[in-house]
Amino acid sequence: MLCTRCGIPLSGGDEAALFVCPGCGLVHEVGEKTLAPFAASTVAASTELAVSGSVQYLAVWRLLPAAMTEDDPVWEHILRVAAPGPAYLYVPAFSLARPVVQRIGMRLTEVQPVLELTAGVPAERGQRPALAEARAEVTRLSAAAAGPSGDPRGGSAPDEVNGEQDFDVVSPILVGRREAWGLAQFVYLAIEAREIHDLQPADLRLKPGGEELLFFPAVWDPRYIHESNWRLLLREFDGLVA
Amino acid sequence: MSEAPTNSLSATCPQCGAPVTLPDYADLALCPFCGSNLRRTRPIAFEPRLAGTSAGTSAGAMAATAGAAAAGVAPVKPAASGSHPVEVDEQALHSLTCPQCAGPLSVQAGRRILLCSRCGVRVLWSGQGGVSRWLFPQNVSQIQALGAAAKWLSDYPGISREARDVPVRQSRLVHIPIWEHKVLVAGWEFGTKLRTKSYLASDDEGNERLELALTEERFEDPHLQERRFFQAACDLPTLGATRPRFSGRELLLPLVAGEVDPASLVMEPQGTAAAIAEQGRRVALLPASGAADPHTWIVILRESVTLLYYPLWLVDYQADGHSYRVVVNAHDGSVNSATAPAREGRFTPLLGLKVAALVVVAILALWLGSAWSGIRVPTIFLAVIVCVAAVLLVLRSPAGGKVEYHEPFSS
Repeated sequence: MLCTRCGIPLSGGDEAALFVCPGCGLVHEVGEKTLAPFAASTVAASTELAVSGSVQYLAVWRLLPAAMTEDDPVWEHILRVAAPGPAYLYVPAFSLARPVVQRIGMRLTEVQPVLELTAGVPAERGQRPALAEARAEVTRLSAAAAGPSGDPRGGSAPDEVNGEQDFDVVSPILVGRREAWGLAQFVYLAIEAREIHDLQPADLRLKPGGEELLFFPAVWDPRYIHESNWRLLLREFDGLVA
Repeated sequence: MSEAPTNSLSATCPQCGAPVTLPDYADLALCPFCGSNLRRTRPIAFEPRLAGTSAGTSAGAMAATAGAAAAGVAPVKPAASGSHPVEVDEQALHSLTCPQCAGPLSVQAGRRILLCSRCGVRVLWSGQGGVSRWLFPQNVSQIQALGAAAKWLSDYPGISREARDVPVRQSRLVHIPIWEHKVLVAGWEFGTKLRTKSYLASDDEGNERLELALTEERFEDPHLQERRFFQAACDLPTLGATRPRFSGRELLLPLVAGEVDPASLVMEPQGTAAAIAEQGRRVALLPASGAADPHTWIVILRESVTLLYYPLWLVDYQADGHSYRVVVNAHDGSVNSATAPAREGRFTPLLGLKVAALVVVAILALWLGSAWSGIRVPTIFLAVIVCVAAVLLVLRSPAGGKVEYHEPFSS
């Protein structure tokens, strides 16, 4: 598989749903017979805190639903948070572990962060200035607690939490476009289940609209348990650690 | 039981010219001389619909299609309006090569994405008809299998003395196909569940006792998980076997013709991938919470159908003028299923004593429960369990002069 623009071999493992060109950053979807390219964007770090550790970039789908359930108080609240801009649903594409998809997807959707986007995929790992690093043994223990490595046949292992060591700078893209809409409903129901006591899943009406793939800067830190140990470098996430 | 494959392809390796045989069950063969990975291709000819279509166009299209197929890339149909593709009977072997540098590709790692070790290009690999085939490695030799069968015959209770000492020498290795439907599901289940809760209750005299009560509790269960559905793709009862126990997460090898014992019988799969997928989908969408009437929303994000080939040793022997069989798992060495002549009839004095003892224990438990109200519930449970054990003991005792064993928790 070669990049349709520059001819460089595409990167992406056996479990990847999409393949990235390391040269020009074009993302490729595998179609019936051809590769379909599209552009992704990188989110600029907006936090003013000095977060320790190496910066890695996490693939996340940003979805713009065409229509939502009418008179939905949860969606109305999200619309108010996002105003004056449109409201998006966010689905992590770098992991298929349920806690990761649920927690990060919920937090991003609820917060509706203001993003500064740059076209393309980041190439270099950044190092954040900090007074102290996360202790190495804590990182190792957290990764070990997450369980053994994946399916020997190369299939995805959704129950396993992805640690920092799973990829270098840019995360793999494990969730495709169609799957992202399925997971968007999953994330949205997670938000609703917390807000509405007697929820009926049949009430949900989510019609796909547009979608784009973004790479969020983040640092893996075992203290951030509410974001599945991923500290997103956005000012909206400048909260307290666990 | 289907016998040895009849649609084997015998051809020469396009890399070194050595003779290579590719049986029908496999997508790939390993050349024993040069180690090239070879795949079967069915060239597609283009029959002219209109008179005057040039033969050169058809030949060129055929070569292009075959070349693309050899590279593991889906062929692109030509846009010629005057011809239509027809699969021809001829088959050929093509080496699996990188479409970029023509370097050899290896599927030994068993991945969907093959990495060319020469130029670093990734190649998307798809199996025959979209179904990939995998092999449980054979870890048990013929001698070990005979030993396991002999040990089972000597140890298992209820077998006739003659059968315990019978020599077991005949064995045959078979690879049974098993369908695996794997899905990734996401969803939620909401509803109420009945749970048993214990609490301390006191009577008028101030005596406290533990009571159990059923309470209704609300639950919200998120699901984002892989679900697997397995079904035997051959008639296992005819073989005298049951489906071996496995999780699907074991280390498997891609099914390559050169790596299966040539003396082994690889059974042809029954059923279609579409039928298995439909059945698997139905199972995957079932609620997992165990609630009586949950509200569910579950979607299938991705799915795949795979054929797994499991090795079994069929050890046959004669006793009392009849044929019997012990099926030994050739992957882990355990006994999968077995039959043997029984020592005596179903009801023996020893069995009667065992059942009588269990009945006495059950009666004792009931008496204790009636005497002390504080332990009434646990003793009733104990009595029920003991009664069930007594019934199972009778049912599992040899019947009809034949002892039958099947690996527990398999199907």
